[in-house]
Amino acid sequence: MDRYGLYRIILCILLSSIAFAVYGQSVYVTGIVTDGPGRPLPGVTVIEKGTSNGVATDQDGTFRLAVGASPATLVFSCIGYENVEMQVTAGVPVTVVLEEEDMVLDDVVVVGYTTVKKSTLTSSVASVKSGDFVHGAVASPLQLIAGRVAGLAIGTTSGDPNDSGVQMMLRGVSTLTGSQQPLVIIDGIAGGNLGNLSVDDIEAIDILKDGAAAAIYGTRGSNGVILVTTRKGASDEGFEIDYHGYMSVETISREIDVFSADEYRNLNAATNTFFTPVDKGASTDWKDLVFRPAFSQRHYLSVKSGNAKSNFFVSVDYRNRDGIIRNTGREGVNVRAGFNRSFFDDKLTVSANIYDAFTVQNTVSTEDVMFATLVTNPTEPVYQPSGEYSVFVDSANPVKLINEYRSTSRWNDILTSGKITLTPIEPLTFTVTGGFHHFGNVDGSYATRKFDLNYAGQAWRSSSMNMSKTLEVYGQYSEKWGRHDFLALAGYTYYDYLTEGFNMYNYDFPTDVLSENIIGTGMALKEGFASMGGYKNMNRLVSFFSRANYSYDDRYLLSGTLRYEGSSKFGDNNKWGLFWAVSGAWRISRESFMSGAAWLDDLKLRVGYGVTGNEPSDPYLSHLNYAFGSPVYIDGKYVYTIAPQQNANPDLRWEEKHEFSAGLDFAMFGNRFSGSVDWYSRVTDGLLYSYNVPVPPNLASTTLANVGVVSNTGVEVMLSGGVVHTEDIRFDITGNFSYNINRMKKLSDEMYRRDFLELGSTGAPVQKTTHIVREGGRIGDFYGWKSIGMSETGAWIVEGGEYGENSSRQVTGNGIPSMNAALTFNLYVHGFDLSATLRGAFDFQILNQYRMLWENFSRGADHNFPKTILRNRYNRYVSTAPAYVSYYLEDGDFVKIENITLGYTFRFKGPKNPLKTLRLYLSGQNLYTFTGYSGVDPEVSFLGLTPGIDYTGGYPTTRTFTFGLKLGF
Amino acid sequence: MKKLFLYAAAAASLAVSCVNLDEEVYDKLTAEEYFKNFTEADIPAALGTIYQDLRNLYAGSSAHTDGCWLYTNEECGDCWVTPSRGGAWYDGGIYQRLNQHTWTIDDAHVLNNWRKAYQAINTCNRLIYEFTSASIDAAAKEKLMAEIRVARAFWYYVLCDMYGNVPIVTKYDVPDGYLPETSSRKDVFDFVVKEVGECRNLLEVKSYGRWDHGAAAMLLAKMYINAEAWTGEEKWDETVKICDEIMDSKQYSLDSEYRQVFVTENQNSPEIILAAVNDEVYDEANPFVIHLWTHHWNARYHYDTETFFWGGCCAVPEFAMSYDPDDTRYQDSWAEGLLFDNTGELTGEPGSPILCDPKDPQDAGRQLEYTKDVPIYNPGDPGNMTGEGRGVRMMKYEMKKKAKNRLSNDFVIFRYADVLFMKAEALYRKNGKVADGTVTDLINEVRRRAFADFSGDKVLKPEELDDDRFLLEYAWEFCQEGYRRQQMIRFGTFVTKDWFDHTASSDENLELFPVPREELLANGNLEQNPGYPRI
Repeated sequence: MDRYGLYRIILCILLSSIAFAVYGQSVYVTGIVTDGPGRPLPGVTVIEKGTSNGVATDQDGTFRLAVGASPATLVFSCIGYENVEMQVTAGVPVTVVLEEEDMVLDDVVVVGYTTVKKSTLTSSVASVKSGDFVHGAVASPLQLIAGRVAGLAIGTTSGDPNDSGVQMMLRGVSTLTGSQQPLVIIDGIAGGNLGNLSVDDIEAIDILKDGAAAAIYGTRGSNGVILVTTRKGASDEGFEIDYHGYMSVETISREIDVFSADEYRNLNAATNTFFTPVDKGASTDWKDLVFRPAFSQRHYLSVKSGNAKSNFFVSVDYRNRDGIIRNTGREGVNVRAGFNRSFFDDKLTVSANIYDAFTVQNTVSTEDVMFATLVTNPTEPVYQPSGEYSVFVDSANPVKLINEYRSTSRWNDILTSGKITLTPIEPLTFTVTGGFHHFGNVDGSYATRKFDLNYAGQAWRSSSMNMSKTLEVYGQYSEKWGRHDFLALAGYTYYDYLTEGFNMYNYDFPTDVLSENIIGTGMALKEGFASMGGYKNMNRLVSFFSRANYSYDDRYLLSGTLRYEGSSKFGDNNKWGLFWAVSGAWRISRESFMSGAAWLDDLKLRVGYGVTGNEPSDPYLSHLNYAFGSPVYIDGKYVYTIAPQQNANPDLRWEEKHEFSAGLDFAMFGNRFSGSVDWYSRVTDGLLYSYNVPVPPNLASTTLANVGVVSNTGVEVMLSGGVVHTEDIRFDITGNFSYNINRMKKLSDEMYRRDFLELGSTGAPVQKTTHIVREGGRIGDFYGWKSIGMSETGAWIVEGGEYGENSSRQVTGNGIPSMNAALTFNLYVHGFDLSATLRGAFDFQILNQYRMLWENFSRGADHNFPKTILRNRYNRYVSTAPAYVSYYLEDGDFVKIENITLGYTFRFKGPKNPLKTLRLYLSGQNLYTFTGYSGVDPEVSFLGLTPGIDYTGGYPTTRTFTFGLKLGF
Repeated sequence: MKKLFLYAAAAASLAVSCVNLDEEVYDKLTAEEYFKNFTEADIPAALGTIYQDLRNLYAGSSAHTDGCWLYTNEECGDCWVTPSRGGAWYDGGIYQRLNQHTWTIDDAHVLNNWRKAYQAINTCNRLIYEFTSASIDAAAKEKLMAEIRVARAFWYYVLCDMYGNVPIVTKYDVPDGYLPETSSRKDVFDFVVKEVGECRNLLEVKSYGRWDHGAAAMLLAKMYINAEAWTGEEKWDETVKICDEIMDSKQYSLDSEYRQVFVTENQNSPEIILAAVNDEVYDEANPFVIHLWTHHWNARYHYDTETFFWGGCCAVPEFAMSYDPDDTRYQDSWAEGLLFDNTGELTGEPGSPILCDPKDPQDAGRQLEYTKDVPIYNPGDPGNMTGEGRGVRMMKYEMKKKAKNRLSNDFVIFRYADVLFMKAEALYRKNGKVADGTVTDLINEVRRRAFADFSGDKVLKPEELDDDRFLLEYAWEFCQEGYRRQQMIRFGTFVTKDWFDHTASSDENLELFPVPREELLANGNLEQNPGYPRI
């Protein structure tokens, strides 16, 4: 059985325990309500149509309701069952049968320009409804579906309130330089910012996973497509007000173990006199001065009302989140409104949506703060006797960093969209969608005189704006002849993007008091040292698309899509590309030979093939451009020089992914146990990279060209089961697992050659590249020296040669987990609900940069160190120059308790009672991590070509406890 | 009918705009726009690129790790070294490999000197191509072309010096798929001499910071003096002749003081024949940052600058100790001694000593002091570090008070003292490496200003001058100017001498750098230099 059923039972029981108040009517109607098999249904709401007069059925399914007149039309409703309307006459008891809603199988899934029933999907599409979202305080809407979709890795790599650090990767890396982020479509409009949506406004998130599903989105489909559907107005004459508020507190997810002042002083003894600390006399806990428990609060209010013809939805969301690093935080308000109206017997419907997010962000320079906090000598005082900040050698004073520099960003993000649907003759509809997205920000930063004594204050300001316009026109026709179901649609899309911005920098101000607000008064401007910059660019996409779906008896399903798309970013020789997909499904369970297997509700085999693209990330790459360089002295004065900037590549085009996928969906025992297994093989060719070309004849020494080929193959399993389903208790477990193997197939061709790409940086003083991309290898491979011991002199002994020799390097690990898994438990007992999500990633390594650079006594005595410096792994302390050896590469495998939420819901009945539901919950996010990794959090970036580096300066991840309240009116 | 036509036209134009994928380029100039509006007023900006490229000889905030002509050619010689200090300045061993002559075909210094040279050559080829069709007055055009060709010849001179056998490309509009082939070092040499010879009389007699008569003549002199080392063919007479020509032109003279050639506002020094012009305000990309490379990170409090430093390179100790105690060029070239917190910003009390950090326990408790000696604490260890204060630091280019992270001192590429030295060397060699009074007179003319009392043993005598002394004279006068490798190769000591971490070898192949791997990959027609791996 599905998990919606749980709500249904609980709600029914709740409702049954509280009787509706009944008013002074004199005519009574009576009856009994049962489910399909004839069992009495308690707690069914029975309402006299068009009024608020109602009652709930008893434990034995019977009801008695006073009505204004007989006969009366009653509406019977219960969550999880189809509503029934029936005319009832006083004195004639009725038997009403409520049929179960087939919720799992016949959820409607958004697939791009249209919707289909989940049961008739032919490709891999994951759908997560709001009821299944991760509970609790989430930093980004993406966290709502973390661990919910097999093959979609979602990780939280940072606790920065202003950069949720949430990363996504669908089915492995299929690009070298392009975006790895899925295309996000909000209510049909691309370009919106998912992070800026209010979490409570989201109704459902659908993910087009495979090529067959995503091909309808052409050059933007390779990384998958995330379709977000937001909540809409009510259609039942109701008037609903919802409130959701919470308070939460965040702390660092795991302490960073550095020495306290006393421990540092004792290092001489602790190291048997190997190390002589430099005692500056004070005892300072830098972590305590920098970090804090951070509080957040959020208040969300929504109103929806209307009827089937005309309805609206409005919501306001206020969020205030402090960061665990002092003086960081974010405050914002989201407003969203939507309305729908239909005319001429629903032949014409018009809808409009707008959201506006306004946010203020306060940041410090995280990297410097983290670095200074970790390496500053704990016996240093914060202040000198004179009251000035203490000055240190290698690091800035952490307290100075957070107090004397601040950066504020204010931005406004608006997405408006409108949709007109015309249905001239029933199965034929025409739709026009228009969308306009606008993002604007004004940023300011100021460093006081105390921050850097060289300057009498420094100020930065910048502002940018980007906007995109979307127009889509399409028509759809569907028809059913007997057992033949047919749907066809075709349309046109225009997408236009423009961005521009400017920035300025000035210093030496008459006062610190007015900060960057008077940026013009800095003396550097007069002296010629202030700076200014600006940019503006655009790109445009045009496409024609079509889709055809055919099914016979809902048993044999076939779907095809075509998209012919052009982008202004492409070179003149490759302006347009054709993207297509075919997919089919066979619902075996509907075959007559399966009729004996009554326990089997659904069994479906899916097969599909799809071609999608990935655009170059920047515009203007295919042309020869002239740009201005630095001024030079010519004929007694300075002139700006001008020269070509890049080689032209008229052949520049998209990266093209070909994906074959197959899957099996099944549901059994009354849908109580369901799942799916998917297998895919995707090959992406024409990967873009900058290749070395000879100069001359070329202008620049590199050209961006489509050359490489990469493949990803994997399996995904998703299982869901109702373990306990009784009337009072319901316990469900849902789990998923994914495995992906990545292989770089090709990096060179006749014209453009690369033996390998050495990428990433260890940072000073090691100055080595960390990763390699080469044919036959995997993206994310660490490439360095494998340490196997340490010599008498403390030098690293490495396998196959000497440290530092390029020839003795080898692949020492990989930074991208090949396996991801998640488990979700949901338990409902009477009004209580308890849910827990476990999430894990496996088979990957992390380069612990902090250990590599600072778990080393050669860095000098006047510092703090990680406590692991005493580890003495090779019977001696590491005290030679920091080195990039595998000693600092750790296994990252982890299992996290991502979230545990415990809630209780009160339900109130009666027309006089305006409050219908009240839910209280306690939630913990990122509660505990089981891992052998020694850093703060093994969840580090898995994106890009240099994944798996845990940088010293990253904003640490946090653990969050939340107390929340939801009210429904 | 007319209406119908209008509708059709409207529909057609709508259809066109619906599928219009042209890029509207807002913040870059497309080639089309640029040339459509090109006039004579646009010449300086276009031409300026060749002088921007000239600054690539030394410039860029990462030129020490990325590679530039100055750093590369000094670091591999016997005057300048970058030891690892306190866990820093190891940087994967790239400086040590320059000192030890163990560079690889992947090293940034190897790659980027090549790239910078060919980028500059390509700029010249492109400008020649673009100006050929531009509507400019014929005489002006001829002069412009000459200037660009000499600029191009200079970069072939750099390539001839560092890589020897390189492709000569003189055209911009090459056919599709064209990949140049390696020419012999002799051909490259002849090409430079021919080009400069053909063009130099068309140049301005004197124009500061540009390729003029004197600069072109000096380029020829550099070719001739190195001819024997590069091609085996002696050109001592030609060297003397071209040096005489420069001297006879009376355009240049020795500056009264050695340090004046390198001060912040050195553009008026009569000694400078060619300089790359720097300015702390106007320079955006590629600033001159030799002070950042060399000084200790806390030197800011001693010198009262607005910039911090990176604290890496210093003088090779044997060389720092070789100066005559009375030679003022030592203190005009190197910073030695204790450092104090003259600003009081570090300690709160102006004049307090600056202590070592210490990044290395061996520096603990020590006052920060630039010393001539540079002891290596852990010989054999890849990080073979020294103390943070060890080594005297580059101070030839004046660092003014409140200096910023870019210097305004113009970088001296050619100067008159070198003319006297080259003539002396040519005469000395022509005479079978026996010096006479003419030779020592030329050198003494330069030495004179370095001594308060230039008499007695300060005056160089012919019998004192041998190869070793000649090299020392060169080093004392021209250290930190980018010519050390060239000088050592001419005198045959580049691979055969022991200094600092460099042990002598007889591998003459090391006198050329290898063709970098990335270039070999990009162009299969390139030939690797002897002694280096193909790929």
